[in-house]
Amino acid sequence: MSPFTTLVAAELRKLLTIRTALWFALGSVALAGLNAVIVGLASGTLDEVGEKEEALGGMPVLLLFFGLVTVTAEWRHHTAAPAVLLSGRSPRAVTVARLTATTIVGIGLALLTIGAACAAAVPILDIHQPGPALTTAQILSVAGGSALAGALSVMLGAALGGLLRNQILAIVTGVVLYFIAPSLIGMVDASAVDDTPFGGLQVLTRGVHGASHSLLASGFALVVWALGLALIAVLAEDRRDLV
Amino acid sequence: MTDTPTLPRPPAVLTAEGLTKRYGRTPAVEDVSFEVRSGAVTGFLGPNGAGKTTMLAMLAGLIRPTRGRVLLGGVPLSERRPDARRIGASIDACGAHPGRSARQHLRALAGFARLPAARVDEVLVDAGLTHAADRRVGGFSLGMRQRLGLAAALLGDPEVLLLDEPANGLDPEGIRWLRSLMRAQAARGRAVLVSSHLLSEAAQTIDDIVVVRNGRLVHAGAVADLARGGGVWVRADDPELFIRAVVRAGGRTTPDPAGTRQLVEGLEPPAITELARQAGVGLYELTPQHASLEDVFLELTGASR
Repeated sequence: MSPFTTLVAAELRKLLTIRTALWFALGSVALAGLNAVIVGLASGTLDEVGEKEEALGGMPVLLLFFGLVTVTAEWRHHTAAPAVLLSGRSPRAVTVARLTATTIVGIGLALLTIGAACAAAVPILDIHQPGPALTTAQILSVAGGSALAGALSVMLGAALGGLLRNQILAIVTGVVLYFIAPSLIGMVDASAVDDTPFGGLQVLTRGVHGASHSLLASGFALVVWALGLALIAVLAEDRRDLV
Repeated sequence: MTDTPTLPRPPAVLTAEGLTKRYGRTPAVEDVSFEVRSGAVTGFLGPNGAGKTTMLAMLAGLIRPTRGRVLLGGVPLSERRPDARRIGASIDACGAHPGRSARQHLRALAGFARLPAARVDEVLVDAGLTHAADRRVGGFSLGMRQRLGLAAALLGDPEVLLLDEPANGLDPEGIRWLRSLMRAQAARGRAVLVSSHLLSEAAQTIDDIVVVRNGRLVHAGAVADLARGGGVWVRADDPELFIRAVVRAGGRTTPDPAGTRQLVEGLEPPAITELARQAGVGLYELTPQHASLEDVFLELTGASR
């Protein structure tokens, strides 16, 4: 194994030997199923394809908080420093490995979530909703977008967590950025919301209906946000104390 | 405490040179320099809030000094990559996730250092944690957490061990175990730097002592040197003749409350024996009085005031 692979493997071991991923997996699956049931059964008649696609969207916001909680837990429980001390690598390298490992687990959670969403939503829509059924291409498009949104959400959360380090502060910041900031930005310029990472998430998980960006553009914007934040978190690491 | 002043002192493996750490305008550590040598246990003593943990974190490379540097084997720490085989630290900054078992925690850390799983079992034995290896850390007592921190620090079998208040939470048996562990490490040629705010706790184990107060160094050296200089108790058959001989030789005498012995200061035992022989005074007792380490410590840290 290369030195970097060793670091990622050690970070993965850390992630998989605590129950955080399990709880978030259960929560994400439950929310995705609930979303499918609410949209498919309790939203009245869904005539439009776009309305039906919303049942498949899942809840990437929970994966954002998975990234936040996982990375800030390193600082909360003082496990970041011993990892660097024992690794023989720079704090920067260990942080890259941590973000990578968190994103890998996040991709797994995102796939699990979208799988659960599809498994719940497709039969409900087929049975209870009139009009044309969703095509395989439409399902795959939404599922792919949601999986990408979930993976990028985890990376965003992990990067934000790495920057802020304080778990409470990071969670509050995540809540503000996801639930409050888009509304405030929308009051100034509605189209600007789609440029924010959370506007991008909405487009990816619920389709482009009414949005100013295409699916690809939103995906690209989200990738830029996630990688940009991750890069800042990594670069900042070598200038900060580990305590 | 071992008393081997005549043996050549092993070279310093870890050197602090003018270490300074400031948070904004607030100084936490100011211009601290000292050495930690191989094969010795060095006590890092000072009252609570003296800056011990900050200094240990700087020595481990976890905090960047505002000024000054740390040399490990003569090479600046800033020019080295962290190495589990060089420095092991059990300080506040090195913790364990409460949801992970002790074994899982150590295996994850061993994974970072590419150490075999067998090493984890070894340090679990060394730390006396075998019985609790598969229990979650969240259910550990403070003493067990201390042992786990020590086990993690020992993983790479490092040349330098940095331990921050490791006796906190340990029961008497645990403290005895800790002392023997530190002595065993020193006997293997390892350098051990152990912080404490209680001299009585460290005095039985340490060879060298570094005393800090308000982030500044107030003393660094061998414990034997610190305890020396307390005078010599002498019982002579002719006290008056003996006192005159001592004063002529430049020494001072103070009688004990019972008036049966004299505390001689300013002269070493061989000189006292010689001057008594020349004066024709018989000596029945010649007992060097070591200054109380506790008193010296309290005086150095200002706690006696």
